[in-house]
Amino acid sequence: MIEIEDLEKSFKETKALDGASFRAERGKITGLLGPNGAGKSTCLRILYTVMKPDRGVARVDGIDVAREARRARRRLGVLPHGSGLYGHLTARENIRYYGALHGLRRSSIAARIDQLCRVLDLDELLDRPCKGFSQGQKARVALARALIHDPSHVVLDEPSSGLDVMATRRFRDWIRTLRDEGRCVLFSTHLMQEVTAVCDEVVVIAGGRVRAQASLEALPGLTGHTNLEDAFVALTQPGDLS
Amino acid sequence: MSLRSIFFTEILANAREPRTLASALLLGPLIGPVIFAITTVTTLERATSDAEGARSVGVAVAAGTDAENLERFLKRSGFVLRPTSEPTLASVEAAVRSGERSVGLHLEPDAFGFMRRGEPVPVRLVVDGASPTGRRLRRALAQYGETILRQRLMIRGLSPLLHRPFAIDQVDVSTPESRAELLLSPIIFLLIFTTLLGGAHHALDATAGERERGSLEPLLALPVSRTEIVVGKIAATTAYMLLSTTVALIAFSISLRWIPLDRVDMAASIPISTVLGMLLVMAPFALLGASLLTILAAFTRTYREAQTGMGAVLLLPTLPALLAQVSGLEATLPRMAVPALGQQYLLASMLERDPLPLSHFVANGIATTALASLCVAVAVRLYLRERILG
Repeated sequence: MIEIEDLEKSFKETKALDGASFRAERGKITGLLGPNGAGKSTCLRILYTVMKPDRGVARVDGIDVAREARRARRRLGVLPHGSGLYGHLTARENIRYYGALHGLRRSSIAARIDQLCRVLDLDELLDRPCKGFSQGQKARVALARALIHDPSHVVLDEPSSGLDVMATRRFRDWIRTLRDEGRCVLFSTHLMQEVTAVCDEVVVIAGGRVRAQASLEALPGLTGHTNLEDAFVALTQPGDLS
Repeated sequence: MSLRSIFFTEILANAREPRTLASALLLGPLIGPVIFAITTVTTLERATSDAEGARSVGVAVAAGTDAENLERFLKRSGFVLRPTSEPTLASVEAAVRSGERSVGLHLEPDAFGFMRRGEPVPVRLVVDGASPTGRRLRRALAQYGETILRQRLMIRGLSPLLHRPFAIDQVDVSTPESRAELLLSPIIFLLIFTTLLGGAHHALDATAGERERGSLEPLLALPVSRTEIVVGKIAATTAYMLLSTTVALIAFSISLRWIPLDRVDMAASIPISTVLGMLLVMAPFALLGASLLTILAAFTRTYREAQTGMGAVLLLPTLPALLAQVSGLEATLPRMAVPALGQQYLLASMLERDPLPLSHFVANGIATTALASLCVAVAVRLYLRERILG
């Protein structure tokens, strides 16, 4: 389970996070929904330990990520914004590299690559350099790389940005598979249809604060609206939410 | 384990990157030796052809010069005397200016009268300052003057040795290798520069380039310490730098075989044992260069910004070496502690086959490694900052 508690983070004069708190459970897809500049990426960056909060705590299965970064990282599969693949390496080399850095043995890496290859349909891509891949192909390889150590928690930052319709649909299927395997899936997005298509739980964030957390069905009711879009607009308006 | 994976992946990824390969294997390591070989061969060709040419240098002599003995002496010395049409200084000057003659000579018409009175005969040499022929004619005239002086002393019943208070006999202790020192000094400078250039692209790309491509952030989210990441990257840059040094040394070794140094009684070669020794001297320096460039890449926001600062970082370590070459400072033990300067002395001594004492090598190795370690620590600290994400 991922727990975010009262996170605060400022960059000079700008307050990116202002006491954000929410939870994401295993076996569920939790969408972190918010407009641009809401604090989604900062929140995820703190969670996957590349940033430290000014205040507050982020926990993965009860592990404080700031205090025990290495332990937390072993439980996290991270797919930051953009694929971040090494263009001159093949897909297999990219995935194998991360496996080695997670401390896996060569034989386990090979077995896991075979497994991921079947699930993510990577056969044709495995031994080609990533340089010429389409956005969709890059996203598949990057997801495989993030999953090489079989993490219990998967964090994705705007995973479907740049993907075409077919690639987005396939990507959603894989995210659902991850949930069905019992993992905790947390992903950020600013797209409403993304949330409605795959999320079980929605966390609405704006101005660095969590405005609401509820199931997809319950969220509109919180604001007295009947549809999610109106609820989202109401929740992300500046001002205090009572 | 992680360190090894980072090192080998960096090496592999960049081995497939044309820009890294070009800067590590082509730009510095090959262009430097090729330019060195061409310029040295050209210089030697010119020097030896000038020396041979002295045997038949055309001299414009003012017409009507009546100094048969002098003319005979000059002809014996290899000068070809061609009188001008007019017996004036102006016509001699014109002959040299037009390039018809390489040097001109104008004697006072009453030379014999001056001689008889024991007064110096006014002689005007018309020379092109850029050509060495004028100096040769002046030397020949001085030699002829000495002959006359000896004759005058003998006529007066004096020993001709009177005008030579010193009997100077020079013992040349230089070896063909040490005589080649000045000629070979560009090799050292080029080696130092080549080493830095060989890893420059990799150093900037491994940090600034990765940040721009978005691959640095997921890497930092892995269960690997930042120290391992930075050290792995710096080690890969160092390897590229030393690869570049090796290629350059082999290229210099080949080019020295091709340069006819024996024609000017010089000798130089870089045998394999010297190549290995030089690589050992350059290893801590490469580590220093790699960490300095990584600091630059970690400090700047983009690859382009890092490239702008690269010139200064490449130039900075080469300055002490340049200073030593220009000022001719002696190699002392404390000076070995200055990176680049120490390398300059040590490499030069190895090239001359007269290596400095072992203590100098040890001092340089320790000092350079200590400074390089400090720079690695600074690079790690920069990697710990959140700003590393851009």
